[in-house]
This record gives sequence, structure tokens and C-alpha cells, in this order.
Amino acid sequence: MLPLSFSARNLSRSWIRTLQISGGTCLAALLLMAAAAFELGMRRTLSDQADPANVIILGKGSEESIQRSEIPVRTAAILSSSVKGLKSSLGQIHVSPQILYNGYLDCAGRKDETSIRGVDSAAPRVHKDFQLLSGNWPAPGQLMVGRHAATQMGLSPSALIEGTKVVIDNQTFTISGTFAVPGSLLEAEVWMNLHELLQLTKRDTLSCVVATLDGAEFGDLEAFAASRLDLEVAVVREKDYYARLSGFYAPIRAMVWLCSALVAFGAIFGGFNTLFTAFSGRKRELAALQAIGFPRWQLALSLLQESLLACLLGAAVALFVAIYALDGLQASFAGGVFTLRFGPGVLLLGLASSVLLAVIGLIAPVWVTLRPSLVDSLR
Amino acid sequence: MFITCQNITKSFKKGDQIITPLQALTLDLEKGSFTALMGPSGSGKTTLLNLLAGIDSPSSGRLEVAGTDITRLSRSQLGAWRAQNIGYIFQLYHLVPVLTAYENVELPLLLQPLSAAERHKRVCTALDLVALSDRAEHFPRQLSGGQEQRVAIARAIVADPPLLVADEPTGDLDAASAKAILQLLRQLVNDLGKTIVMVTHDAKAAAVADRILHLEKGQLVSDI
Ligand SMILES: Nc1ncnc2c1ncn2[C@@H]1O[C@H](COP(=O)(O)OP(=O)(O)OP(=O)(O)O)[C@@H](O)[C@H]1O
Ligand SMILES: [Mg+2]
Repeated sequence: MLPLSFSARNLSRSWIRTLQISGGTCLAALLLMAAAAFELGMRRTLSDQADPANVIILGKGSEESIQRSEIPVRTAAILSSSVKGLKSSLGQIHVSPQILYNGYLDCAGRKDETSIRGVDSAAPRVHKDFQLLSGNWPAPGQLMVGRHAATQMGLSPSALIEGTKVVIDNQTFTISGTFAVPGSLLEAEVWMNLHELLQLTKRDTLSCVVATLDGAEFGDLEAFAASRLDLEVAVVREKDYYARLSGFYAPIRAMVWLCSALVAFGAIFGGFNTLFTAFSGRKRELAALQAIGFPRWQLALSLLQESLLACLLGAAVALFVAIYALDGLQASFAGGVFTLRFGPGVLLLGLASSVLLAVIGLIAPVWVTLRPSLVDSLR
Repeated sequence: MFITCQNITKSFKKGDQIITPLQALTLDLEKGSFTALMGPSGSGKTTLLNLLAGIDSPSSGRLEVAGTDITRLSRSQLGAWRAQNIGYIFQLYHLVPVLTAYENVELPLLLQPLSAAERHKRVCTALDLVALSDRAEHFPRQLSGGQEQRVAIARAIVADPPLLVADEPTGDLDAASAKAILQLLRQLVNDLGKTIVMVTHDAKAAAVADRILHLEKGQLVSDI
């Protein structure tokens, strides 16, 4: 058998070629992993934030968009008093009336569109991962910002710190603090007091009510919606609502995959081409080794080791870049901020794809160098 | 007889054309003989050499080398047979550029069940024989043409095969280097009892052989 060191030394024949092969694999693996990490981050953001015990009460006919929905303000109080088995803690029932409003936030002369949510003190109860990272819950004339709100608006995070004054619809507010709801789209929002947002937007309706079930069943809520025809409300599970929302992001995901695939294809093709040139240029040498008595499978194995080494070298760089430079990076799309997540599955995908490339890239050169009869190869 | 060729014919298909570089050739070679093959370009010298070395199989006829009817062997069996019986010396040496002289010579031994110590002993003996022990750690590009060919000869003999075939081994060398190579080959026959078949265009080179065969259009025309 030809030793492994033989394959390793063959990489040094032309560092430029090896670099092209490793670099092509690196780029392809990195793009594939980035696309998968984006997909994973987006899926997490959209589905993990949903609490299986939560339901959303929305206006009938607006089940697909909280922004468009309008329901009477009294819905929250009626729901709390008429449905048994909603979750409560420390005597407080988990029913959160909310307004979701797309407005313009004016910060130091820059105006950016953002999602503003009007909430009351029940919001942290239904969004149970809510944390106040710094500052205080907003008092009148104040608002708080999610930790990704600045990123979503294209601002640097330091632009929206405590004490900063911002203007919404000609009214000035002071930032009172920053909050987090790890992994959720809510982190890209601005939150303020429900009643202030009602006044600001001159509305007399809520967008929705979010409630957490405890003993009650989803059917009980449906019965509630059906019996209170005066409210004109519908009930959806929070999970279903966000699952449908992720359908809205499907074209973006498709674009990300397509763009990565196109660039990766170029990188792979370049790598394959170089591999082919490098190996087929050794046709005579491989024929001489066959003449000495080396069987073709041993020579193919040696070439495989060589292409694996080159590709794994590229994969190692790709994994390193993914873990240390790209993991946790944020991309903002269509009102949401999504985090690239390079989980073990994604990293394994990168590794597996580079191994696959090493094997597939070998097919053409092996065919050309080892298949012809020995006399032809020696000539 | 060490080599018996009976009525061997070799033809290649090239498109719809059939080329027959060897035509019903019959030939016997004795063990320990040094034979030179001469003839014009295209007369079939390399083709005959490849058949004797088990690189290729004849289209028809009987061919026995070192007691084996090699026309019956498959491609992979021929490979294993070559590893035991043949040392091939090429005009352009065909050394592996990323391996040192030592490692190039060691290559054929990697196909045999030998300990590292045994391999080391044999490689050193072979390099000694071609007087290149001091160049063991050099890479082919650091050697002259004549030295490269001597490394190639060491590689051909290291596994101790009975038959050496050489296709214009001095074709790419200056006169002095060529002379040294020819002396070396002669020595392998005289001292180690190897059988050598060597293709050459050079009458002076052919003169070191015991027997000179002339090929023309795939047939033997003279035998001296
Ligand atoms: N694999 C092959 N396929 C097709 N034709 C071949 C093949 N090998 C040899 N030939 C043809 O057979 C004839 C003899 O070739 P061969 O290489 O044996 O000649 P040669 O005597 O060694 O010539 P040279 O002195 O130029 O090396 C030539 O016409 C050559 O083109
Ligand atoms: Mg020839």
C-alpha cells in the first residue's frame, strides 16, 4: 500500500492547486452551512417563540395578521371573567391585551419603520421568557426597546440606549430600558404602555389578546369566541399563528438557498476542475506505478486520501470561520431579526458535504487516469 | 526455456482500422541472457516488450514467461505477477517526483509482506549496486538524468525479479551516462543472473547484449 504520507506530500506539488481545491471546498461548505444556519435560526425564531399553552384572540377575518386585527378593548376583561382555567400566578391572570402598530421612530434625525407593541404589565406573564436587561418598565412618556430593535432598524445598538429621546408621530418618548425574549421576534420590537399607544394612534380597539391556558382547553376558547358574537373574535394557537407567519418568509429562505447554491456551485466547479487537471496530469506516473504492480484500487485509494486531505483542510477552515466568525451573527429581514445558528447538525452538514465533494470530485480524474489500458496510459 | 513466444500476434483497433504491430512472432529467450531489440520506429519493439513484461496481452498465440502462461492472467493477476517477476526500466525514468531516491526504490517492496527492517536492507543493497547510496535522500529533480536512470534501475531490481525489460534506457542520456548504464545492466546479467530484454536504436548500446534481434513491420528479420 502507498503510505498516507505519499498523499500528503502530493498536496505540496502545487500549493496553488491545493489552495484552489481546499478553498473551493471551504467556500462551498461555508455557504451551505450559512444557508442552513440561517434556515435554522429563522425556524427557531418563528416557532420556538410560540408557547404551546398560549392562544391569541384576534378579530374575525384577521386571523393571519395581528397588525390588521381589531377587537374591542373590553375583550380582555370579558375573557378573564368568563373562561375558567386560564393560567394565573400570584393572583394575576395571564391575559395580555396588546396593540401591534407599525410606526415610524425618529431617532436623532433618522426615521425608521418599526414594530411598536402596546402592552400592560401582563405581557411578561404570557411571554414567559421576557427579561428586563437594563433600566425600568416604561412609565408614562417612556418606552423600552427589544435588544435587536436597533439592528432591525439598521441602527447601531448604542443608538437606542436608556435616556435617549425618540419621536413617534410627533410625540417625544424617553427610552427607559432594554428587554430580551431570547430567540423571539419580539426582541426586534419597541414596547410601550397600552393606553399611551391607544391615545397616540387614536384607536379604540386592541390588536389582540394573548392568554395562557392552564386547565382550559383550546375548545373552551373557541366556544367563548362562538358565544360572544358581539366581540367578533377568533382564536388561534400561538404556535399555529407563527407557523403560518414562517410561510410568509419562505421566499426569503428560498432566495438564501438559491444564492448560496449558485455561488457554491461555482466554487465546487472550480475545485473539481483543478482536481481534474492535477490528477490527470499524473496519468503516466500512475501508469508507471501500475507497471510496477500496484493495483488500480490502491492507486485510487491514494488519490482519494489526497482529495480528502485537501477537502478536509478546506472544511476545517470553514468550520473555524463558522464557529468563531459567523455563529450568532444577525440578519434583519422584513421586520424580523434572525440569528445564524451553527448547531452541531449544521457543522456536521458542512463536514459531510466536503467529504462528499472529495469523493465526487475524484470520479472524473480516476476515470481518465485509471480506466484506460495500461499500454495506452504509458504511451 | 525462460521465455517462449509462439506465433504471437498483437493488433489494435483504431476506429474502424486494425493495426497489427506484431505478426505471428515466434521467439525463445534463455534465462540469464541479455537481448537487444532493434528496428525502425513503429516496427513493434515496445509492443513486444510490453507483452513480455505482462503490461499487455497478445491477441493470439502462446506466451510463457518464467514458467507462467501469462495469456491466461486477468489484468489484476498480471499486476501481481509483474510485481514478482518484472523490473521495468523506462526511457524517461518515471520516478515519483515527491519521493526521495530511497522512497522511489522502496515502492515495489510496499507490495510485498516485508518488515520495515527488511525493506531497508533491500533498498540499501539496491542503491549500493547502482552506486547511489550517498544520494538516497535526494529528490529526482536534484539528480542528473543518468542518476535518475540508475535510481530507476535500483527500483527495477529491488524486488529481485528474474526479468528486466528496458525501453531505450539510454535514449535520453549523454554518451558517458549511457555507457555507465549499459555497464550496469551487463553487470546485472553477469553477477546476478538476470535476464534482460532491451530496446535500443543505438548499435553501440546493442553491442553489450549477447543477442541482437531486428524487428521490421512486426516480424523478426534477423537474429545475431
Ligand atoms: N495501444 C496502441 N493503440 C494503437 N496503436 C498502437 C498501440 N501501441 C502501438 N501501436 C501502433 O503499433 C505500431 C508499433 O508501435 P511500437 O510502439 O511497438 O513501435 P516501436 O518499435 O516501439 O517504435 P519506436 O521506436 O518509435 O518506439 C505503431 O504503428 C503504433 O502506432
Ligand atoms: Mg517504442
